[in-house]
Amino acid sequence: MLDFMFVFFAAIALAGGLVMAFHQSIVHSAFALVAVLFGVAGLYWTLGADLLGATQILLYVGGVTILLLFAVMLSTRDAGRLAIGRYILMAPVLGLLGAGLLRVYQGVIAISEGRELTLLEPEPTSDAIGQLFVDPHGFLLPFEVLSVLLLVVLVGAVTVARQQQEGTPDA
Amino acid sequence: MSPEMLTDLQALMPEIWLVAAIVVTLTADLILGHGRTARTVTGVVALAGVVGALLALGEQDTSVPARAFGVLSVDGYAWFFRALIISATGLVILYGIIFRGLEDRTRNEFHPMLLGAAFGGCLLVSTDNLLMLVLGMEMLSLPSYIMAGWQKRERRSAEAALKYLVYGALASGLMLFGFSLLYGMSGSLWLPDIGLAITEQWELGGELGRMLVVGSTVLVFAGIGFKVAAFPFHFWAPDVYEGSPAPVTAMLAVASKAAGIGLLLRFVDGAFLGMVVSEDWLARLGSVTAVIAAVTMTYGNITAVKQTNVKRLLAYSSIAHAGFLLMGVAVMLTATGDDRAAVETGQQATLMYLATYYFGTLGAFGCLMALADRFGAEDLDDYEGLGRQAPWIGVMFVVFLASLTGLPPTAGFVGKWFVFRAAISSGLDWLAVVAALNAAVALFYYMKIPVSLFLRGGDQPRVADVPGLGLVPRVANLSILVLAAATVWLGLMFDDLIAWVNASLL
Repeated sequence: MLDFMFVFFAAIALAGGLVMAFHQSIVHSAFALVAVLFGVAGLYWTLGADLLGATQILLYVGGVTILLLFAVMLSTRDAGRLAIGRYILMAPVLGLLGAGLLRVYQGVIAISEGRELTLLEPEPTSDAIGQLFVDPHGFLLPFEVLSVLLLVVLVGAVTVARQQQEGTPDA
Repeated sequence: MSPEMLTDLQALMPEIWLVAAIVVTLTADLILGHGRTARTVTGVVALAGVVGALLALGEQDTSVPARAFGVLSVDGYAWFFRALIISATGLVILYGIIFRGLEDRTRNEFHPMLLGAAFGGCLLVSTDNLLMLVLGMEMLSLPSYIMAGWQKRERRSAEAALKYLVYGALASGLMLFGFSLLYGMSGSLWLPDIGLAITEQWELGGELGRMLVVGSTVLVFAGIGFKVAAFPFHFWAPDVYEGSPAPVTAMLAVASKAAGIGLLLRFVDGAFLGMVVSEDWLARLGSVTAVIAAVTMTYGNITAVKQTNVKRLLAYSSIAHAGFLLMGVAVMLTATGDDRAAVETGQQATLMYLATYYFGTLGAFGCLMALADRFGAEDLDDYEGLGRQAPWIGVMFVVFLASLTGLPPTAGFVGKWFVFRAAISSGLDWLAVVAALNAAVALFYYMKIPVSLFLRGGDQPRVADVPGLGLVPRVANLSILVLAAATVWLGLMFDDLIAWVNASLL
């Protein structure tokens, strides 16, 4: 069962990734990204991280990709056909990088080898995570800092995006 | 509230002041609108927040390292960096008030950004927890991207913001990836645990374990190298420094760089120089860091020679200074065995250099802004003859540049001396030679500014853009004067600085 779920979700993620990287139209690429993120969410579920998987779908599949699509549609006039030829020079560099990463992942696999993986009974993790968020020695401070970060960045984003009226004093 | 929690909160008082100032400036902006009053009030509140944070910092006793909230390590080291970052932010607020380019957008929202970045920097230098590191990094970076593009009507400013954002996001992503590998290796977010896992993987993990260590280290160093503008992650710096409004550039060159160095030293100390070290790994990492330091300073200095825009010149020189700061890190890593003294020599050199760099750079940017504000001068050609018209600013500019070059009797000399001494004491003689040659190159291009200010140009006085001097420019000029006095004073009487730095070592 575990193997089947892993292969299933990994295949979705991988296929989505290939389409995303090689499709000519940037809009199609963005839709393929949805498949990638969904596949990864499934992998989280497989590993028993239910909250993470749900958040992944809620935020990334539901939010970030939609934003991305909007950005693509608003910023490119002809729904963006990418000229791949311009980036062909980057291919060897990226290939080397990819080869290096592959070796790193082999390292990861070497570490985890021998550890028996079993399909975890889907047990809600949200309880424990919620506890950590209010535990002063857990993630209380990072949680609070995150709210300050969001406040400052929101104000900044509005300031950047706001249209300036000509002739307003101090503006 | 438990007494324990109260102590934790007390350790965080400076940061609480900063956040309170963010909230009050935003509220004041909301209530008072965009008039003159609002501008004054937000500026005063922001400054008050910084002063309050500094006072709270002054009350902290860090002789016994304490932990707060399980993720912060409130020790002398954090104290040193927080003091640098918060006080630099105060000066930048002051500069921001006189700098006229910020009026493209409302100035009132500029202060929350600045305070937010300072808040992030403070967290970044006081934590040894990966999650908090990432948060601090973003808290510092995201407002910085916004501030870089503050001059909406200026093309270069928008370009700076976009470049900074794109490269910054890439660097953050690489660093996060590195962190995820580290977490995967050790199963812990805490740097000392990660240090153990790194040693274990390097010694026992075979070739693949080594790959993992190298891969994660390279990724993390890429993220940190971006923040401190070290070669080969420097390429954003010149454009961003030139395009950003001058107060923001000062913030990036001083507070942001200090936070990056603070993070780097703590990371290196926690993850590589922990209880159990692998000498073989450290030797390799140390020699690579030494080479990066040499290349960074040489690249920065050689490229700075050609520059005619003073801000761009200071940007390249700031890349060169990152190289000097990395020298201390290289010394830390080349210290072999249980030689804690050698590690401390390297740390001490970096902290000394950073403290002296702080005065020189903040002062130089203050002078640059004063000249830009009064005469609209930004290029070396525009500077001709200005020294005779604004002798005070001119002379102080020379003092700061002398300090950045490392000439006695200024603070910069002390900083350079410590770095050189550390390099030679740990057998990195070649690095010391490269650094000495670089200092000579630096002298050449730094001195182009005084030559322009005092020796070139006709006698006819230039028309000042601003006829009258208000109160705030006077205060700003006074703060530059204080920086200049401190630069000379620390060059002569550096005992206190050494004592302070020694109390701040990890």
